[in-house]
This record gives sequence, C-alpha cells and structure tokens, in this order.
Amino acid sequence: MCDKLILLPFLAILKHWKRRPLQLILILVGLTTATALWNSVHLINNEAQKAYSDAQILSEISNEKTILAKNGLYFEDKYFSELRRLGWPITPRIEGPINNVKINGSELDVVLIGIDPLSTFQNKSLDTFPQDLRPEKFLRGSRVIVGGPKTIKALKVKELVYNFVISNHFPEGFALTDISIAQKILNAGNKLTSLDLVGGLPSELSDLEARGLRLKQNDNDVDLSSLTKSFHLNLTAFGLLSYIVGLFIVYATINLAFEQRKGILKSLRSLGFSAVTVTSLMIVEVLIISLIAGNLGVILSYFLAAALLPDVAITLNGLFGANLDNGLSVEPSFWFSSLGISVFGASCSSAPSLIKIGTLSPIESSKKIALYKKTKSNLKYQFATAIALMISIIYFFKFGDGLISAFLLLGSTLISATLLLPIFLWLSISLILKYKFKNPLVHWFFADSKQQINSLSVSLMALLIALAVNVGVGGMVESFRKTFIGWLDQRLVSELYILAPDIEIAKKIEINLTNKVSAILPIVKVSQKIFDTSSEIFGFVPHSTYQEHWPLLEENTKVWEMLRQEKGLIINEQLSRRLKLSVSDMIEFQSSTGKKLSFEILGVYSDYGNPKGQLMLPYGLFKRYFPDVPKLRFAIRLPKEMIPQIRSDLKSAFSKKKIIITDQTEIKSISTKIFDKTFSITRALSLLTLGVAGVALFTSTAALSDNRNSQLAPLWAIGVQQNTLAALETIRALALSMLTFIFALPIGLCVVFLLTNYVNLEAFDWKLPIYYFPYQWLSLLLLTLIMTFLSTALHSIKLSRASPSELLKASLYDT
Amino acid sequence: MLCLKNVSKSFDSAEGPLEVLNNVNLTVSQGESIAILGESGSGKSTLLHIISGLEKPNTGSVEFDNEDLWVLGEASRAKIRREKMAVIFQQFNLVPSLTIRENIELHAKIVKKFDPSFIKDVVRLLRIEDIMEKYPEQTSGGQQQRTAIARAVSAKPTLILADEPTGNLDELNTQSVIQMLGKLVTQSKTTLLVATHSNSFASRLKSQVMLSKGKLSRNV
Repeated sequence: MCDKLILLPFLAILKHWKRRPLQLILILVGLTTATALWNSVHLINNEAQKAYSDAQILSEISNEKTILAKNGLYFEDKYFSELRRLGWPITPRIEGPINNVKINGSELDVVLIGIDPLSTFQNKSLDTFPQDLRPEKFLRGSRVIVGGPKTIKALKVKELVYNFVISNHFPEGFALTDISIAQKILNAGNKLTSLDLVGGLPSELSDLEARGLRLKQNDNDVDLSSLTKSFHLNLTAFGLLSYIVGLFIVYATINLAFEQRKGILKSLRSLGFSAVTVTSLMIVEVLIISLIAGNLGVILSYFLAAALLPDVAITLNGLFGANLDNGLSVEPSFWFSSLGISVFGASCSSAPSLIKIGTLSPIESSKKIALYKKTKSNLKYQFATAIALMISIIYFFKFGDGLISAFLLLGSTLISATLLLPIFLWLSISLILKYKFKNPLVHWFFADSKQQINSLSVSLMALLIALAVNVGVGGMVESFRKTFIGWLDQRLVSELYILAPDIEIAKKIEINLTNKVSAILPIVKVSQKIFDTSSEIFGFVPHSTYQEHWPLLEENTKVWEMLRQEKGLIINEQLSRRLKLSVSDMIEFQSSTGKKLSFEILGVYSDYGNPKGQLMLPYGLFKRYFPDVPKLRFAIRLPKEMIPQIRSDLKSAFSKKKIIITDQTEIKSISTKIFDKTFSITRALSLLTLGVAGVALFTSTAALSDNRNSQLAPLWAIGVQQNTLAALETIRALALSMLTFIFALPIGLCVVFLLTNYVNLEAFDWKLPIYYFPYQWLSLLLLTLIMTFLSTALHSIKLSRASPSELLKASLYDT
Repeated sequence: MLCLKNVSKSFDSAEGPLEVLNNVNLTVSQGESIAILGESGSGKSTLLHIISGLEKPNTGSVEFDNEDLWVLGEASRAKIRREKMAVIFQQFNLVPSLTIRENIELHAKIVKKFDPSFIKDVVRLLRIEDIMEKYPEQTSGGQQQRTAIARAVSAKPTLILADEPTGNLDELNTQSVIQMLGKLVTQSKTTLLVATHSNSFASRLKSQVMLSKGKLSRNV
C-alpha cells in the first residue's frame, strides 16, 4: 500500500516525458555531452600522468652525473674496477637497442638497459619504488628481464629465452635486466656505455682523462609532470568550460519541465503529499536521468579521448620528451567517478527547480508567468552578481600570482561577461525601440525580441562563452603562429644541420666541409639546474649569422662585440623571467668540475615553446669550462643551390656512419607540425564548445515552442501569415545571436589579452605579441549565424506547418 | 455578405469522431447582428473559427463577399481576415510583449486604418484609459477582455466575430460593450456575430440562432 502511494505519484510525474520526449532527449544530450567532454580530458590527463610516472622510473634508476667515453662509444668494463679501486663511487651500465621489435604493429627499437642491481640502488630510498623493480627481483630470479606488458610480449616473439617479468610501472619501449645479460643480448662483450656516479664527485678528473672518459651532467631529473603542468591545466580548463556549457542545456530544459509540471506537482500537494515527498520524487527522477546520461557519457568520452589522444601524444612527446603512446586504459574507478560527475552536474542544474518545488504552494493561482517582472528581477540579480565578480577580477588583476590565479582571472572575466549579456541585449533593444517604426510588425518584432531575452538568455549565455573562447583562443593561437613562424625563420637560419655519432666522424666532417661551405658553426650543450630551474647551457660561435637574425628582445648596445670578446652571454626569456634577471645583471652557474662561474647578461632572446631555461655562452668560454663535451653537432651555412651537392658528398663520404643531416625546411616543417598538433586539441575543444552552445540554442527554442505558439497566435489570428511569423522567428534568433556576437567580440579580445599576458606568462614564462585577425572574426560570425539558423530551423518549420487547431489550442490554453 | 452552406465539422477523439457541426447553413447580411446561442461545448467557438478562416470544415463552404474562403489559399484567407474581419477570442489573445495601447493599435495599423480619435473614443467608452501604458500581464481579466474588444473595433472591420466577449465583465462593462458594438453596427454597418450563452446580451442583437447537437436553428 505504501509502495503504491509513492509509485503512483512518481509515475504521474514521469508521464510528462512520454508527452515531451524531445525534452528528455535534450536533457540526456546536454548531460551526456557535458560529462563526455569533461571525462575525455580527464582520461587524457590521466593517461599522460601514468606515462610520466612510468618515465620517471627511468630517471629513478639513473643518477645525476655519469661517465661516458669521450668518443661517445662503448668502453672496456675493466675501467669500472679500476676507478672503483681509485675511490670512485660508480655503478656500471650498458644501454643499447634491440632492433626490429614490433610493438603495436609498428617496428621499434627497444632500448635494453643493463644495470648492476646492488650498486645502482645504493644510496637510494626504495620506499616508493615499485615492488617488481626492486633489486631483490634481480637477485632472486635468474636471467630476469623486466618490461611493460607490450614490450615483453614483443620481446618473447624475438625468441629470447629469459625469465620475462611484466611490470605495469615500466615505460613501454624499454627493458631492464642484469648487466651481464644485457652485454650478451647486445653482443657487447665486455663493454659498457656508462658509469653512473652514486656518490660524491672526487676532486680530480684526471683519472677519467687518462682513460679517454668524460663526466656528463644528466637532465634525467626533469620532472615531466611539472613541465607539462600548464598544458594539462589548459586542457582541464577547456574540459571544465565545455562541461559548464553543456550544463546550460540541462538547466534550461529541466527548468522548463518544472514549469510545465507545476500543475501536476500542485495537484499532488493538494492530494496530501508533503513537499518533502514531492521533492524527493523529483530528486529520484533527476538521479535516474543523470545515471543514464553518465553511462552514455563514459562511453562517448572514451571515443572522444581516443580521437584526441594521438595529437596530445605528438605534442607531449615532441615538446616535452614524454613517452605517451596512443593507447587508452580505463580503470573501473573511472566509471564511478564519471557517473559522479554526471550526477553532480544534473544536481547543480536542477537545484533551482528543486528549491522551487520544495516551496511550491498548492493554492498558488495558475496565472500566466509575469514575463517582464521576472525578466527585470533576473536582470537585477545578474547585475549584482556581475559587480561582485568584477571586484574579484580587480583583486586577481592587482594581487594575483601564479597560474591558478591567472585562470581564475580569466574565469571571472568570462562569467561576469556572461551575466552582463542579458542586460546588454535588453538595453540594446530598448534603444532600438525608441525609434518609432512605421510598420507595427517591426515594432512588435523588437518588443517581442526584448521579451524573449529571459527565455533565451541561458542558451545565449552559452553562446557568448563559446564565442568569447573561440575569439580568444583563436586570436592567441594565430598570434602565436604568426610570431612562431617569424621566430623560426630567425632561429633556423643555417641551411643544414649535421649530427655526428662520435668525435672522430665529427672531425672528419669538419675537414670534409672546410673550404666547401661558408661557415661551420658548432652547437654544443650541457644540462644544468640553475637556481632550481632546469636549463641548458649552449656553446655557440657569435657569427654574423646569429648577429643578423637572432631574436633578441633586450640587448646591450654592444652585445655581439662583447660576445665575440667573450665578455658575457645571452639567456632566453624563460630564464630571464624565472630568475628575474635582465640585461647587465650577472648570472651564476657551474662548470663541469663544479667551479662557480658568473657572467654578465648581454641580451635576452625569445625562445617560444621551450619549457627549459637556456643560456648561450661564446664557444671559447664553453670549451674552457665544459671541455669534455664533444663537438658532434654543427650548423652549416652555404648557398642554397649547393645543398643537394653537399648532402650527396657527405652521404657518399660517410655512407656507413650514422650521421644525420637535416635541412632548414625539414626542421621548420617538424616544428610547425608539432605546433599545429599542440593547438589542434584546443581548436577542436573550442569548436566543440561552439557546437554545444548551438545545441543549447536548439534546446531552448524547441523547449519553448509551445509557449511561442501561444504568444504568436494573436498575430496569426489578426491575419499575419504563419510563414511570415516563422521567418520572423528565425530572423529574431539570428538578430539575438548577432547581438551576442557583437558583445562577445570585445570579451574575446579581453581573453586574448589575459591569455597572452597572464596565463601564458605564468605557464611558460614567455610573452607573445597580440595580433588581430578580422577575417577570423568574420568566419566565426558566419559559422555562428549558420549554427543559429540550423538550431532554430526546426522550430520555424514546425510553426509554419502548424495546423490552425494547434495554434487555436495554444491561444486558448496559454501557459 | 456571409453564407455558410452545409458546413460540417468533427474532431477525432478516443471514442471515435466527435461531430460538432452537422450541415450548418447560415446567411448573414451586411450590417446584421446575430447572437449564436448554445450550451457549453455545443460548437459555437468552432463555428466562429470556421467563419474566420482559422479552422477548416470537413465539408461545406463558407462564402464571404462571394468568395469561398476554403477554396482560397492561406495567404488570401489571411488577407481577408486581416482587412475585413476582427476576431474577439474567449481568452483575449493579447500580444504579451506589447502595451495595451500598442495591442489596440496593432490591427488598425497593420491594415492602415489607424484613426487615433476613433480609438480614443473606443478606449473611453470601454473605460481603459488608465491602463494604456501597462502590459497585459499587469492588468485584470476584465481589462484584458475590453482591450481585445477595443483592438477588434479599432481596425474598423466589415465583420466582427466575438466569442463570449462579455464573459469576464461585470454588468456595467457588459452594457458598455453592448452599447459600443450596437453603435458600430448602426453607424458603420459592421456585421456582428456573437457567440454567447447570455440571453441578456443575445436579446440586444437583431437576431438569434441556436446551436444544439451540431444543428443550427433560428431562435424563437
């Protein structure tokens, strides 16, 4: 009996959806889309984090300083025992490729790392180390090779007979084993590739010199997670934006469903069901809908993430050296958290309606909605909230610091603009209405549009956010592209770039090219942490090539002269901002022996896209303080017409050696490709947000169509044709979208300013100039108008084809 | 000026077709005023809708000024409704986004028969001068009904179709409406068809017809 008491009213409430299936579909579409967009970003970020923590393992089994052969090749393992006897705290290591291993259908080289487990993990805390990678694993099991699941599967096919151990913590493409096993598999005999320092550095490096060895500082301690933080924050911000825009659809439809069910809800209250019971039933309904949408959202998010992941992988791998593959893994916990997101979103969207239900009086008269009164009341609340947000904007502007603060500034700006939109529309149309139109229909058109602002405001707000973000992000990306291409032209001036495998070959190349080319400019580098900032120290010859093209943002008046005299160095913008240093300041770093060095900063140059700090030292100074770094890389200046000849000569002279020759156009092409991929994700998400806004507009229009019939019926009764009214509906939607675009444009430019001057600056420590692209705005306007037209076309067609009885019925039962 | 021949209309219902009008015939001359009497649900509103070109009959013809309305296209029908007729609905049908003044002037301006002094007289007679700048939502049911009447009259139509025009009015305002409509019939030769179940109102019109069980008969 009790169950029936609850079931019957619940079924009565649910019957609404049978009569209005489109509303239910729209709620599900909105909630599913919102959930899917948020979850897909979450999936991508999770996958990336997993890749970073896997990659981090490689740096955990490495050490800061390592000893290599000067000529870059293998060396005898007897040096290990010799240096140990001399007091060097070292551990042996060998690395090499196992060729032609098929992983994920493509052929790759798996890098086999051979270590001595006991000495490698000396002085390391293993508390956070995965169980399957601890030294006991190697000591207990014989002939153990550890790797990721796909790598081990691929290695087994190579017919290697060993004790394979799968670790989910090891990055794919790498395998770990005992050094003796690695030497055997790699056919390296008694050779090693390096000796890692596991303790303090002895003061004398002559022990190394005598054996043809050198010391190198590793940059393995680069924390990918912090390097890519801003990239992931950017993705997260977009995901959140899309989630919010999707929830606009849900809010609009749930609110309308409540208005249309007021009658049944008041009836239930009159029949004796308490406000708590009625509200609880509605909450259960929202829960059911959100769980359905949540499940659909999870499935959709997987496909969306799978579509976006390849571009993300190219970006992260290319820009930051991550090792992200295109595979997606979904944990069971993800499913539950996704459902939670859906339920949370539905709850937020339906909260205002649920509160109204809780306070609904059964004896409240069913008078028509006082539209003007309601509109004015809403505008007041929105204005007050916008003012409050503006105060927070001023606060973040003046006192904000850090990336989160920058995003909050951006978010507050967008939200306050959104709240001000209805006021802008109201005032604009009021201004138009001051003109006395001769045609009464024109007057009615604008008066009616003014009245519609409240009904359509939610979807127009969603449109505003989408437009402002598109203008903002589009402007920022295009400014970046324009700057980047110009900057690439300045940085990549040399016609050819050559990388030799070892010193002997490098020397032969130099001899080969002397007198054939205009200049052979060496490029050498070491990695070092300068005041906790991961940096690279480059050695370069201050040739006229650089003097004429290098993109200096700030400079000493005699910068190039002083560089040639080895009286200072130049740094990149990132290092300048992070360390708050500029021209004529001194910068300190260490030589390869640990000696403190200090030089004057003669210039600061732009270095877009580089997450690390960079310092360029005249080659003479570099050689003096980092003598062990071999000169293996060169930039070659030569007339363009000679490029094919020189390439051919080098190939024939060094046919069996692994020299890499790249020309300027190839590097520019690769760089531009990574650039495009980086922003293809944000572009895709921007357009998706615009699409979701279009769906929001469609939702509002479709959901309000019954009400519209009753509002238009009087004119039809007077003698205005249905087709005319239908056309005016479309024109109204286009006019409101156009006005929204006009408002969105300056907001979007504000977004560009905030992105380039605050968000990007906080995230990357470099600043972009702002350019304006009117053609982009025009194409966005066109896209918006097309989308609006499509969103409202169905409603207009329905209206033009509505039967007289539908219109008459609407006029009789005005809701 | 108006001639209905064998007009029938039925609606679909769960129990099958529901016949509302059955071979209705009616001839109305220019300047005539007729009350259509009948119980609630007898089809009075449907008859007015068919005459005004808003609802199509299943069978029969409706000739207005020698033109069969239901042979013409929607555009022509709309034009006739716009230029020669005015409909006063039971539920007022005011345009919510326009003020009372704008609602009253709307039809007259569309058909270019806007006469400010005439409208002023109508407004005064209907006692709605005080609410001219308000919106419909800010006025009472009675005021909205009088506004709907004012709108219809202001367009100076040839034919006025009124569906329970005094349903929400008190006695004083009912008399005002009857007086005004009577004046219009007399002075402008406007034809008036009123659906009502008020015998008092009906008796003030020239003739009465009764609609019962789908059949129309001249009232005794």
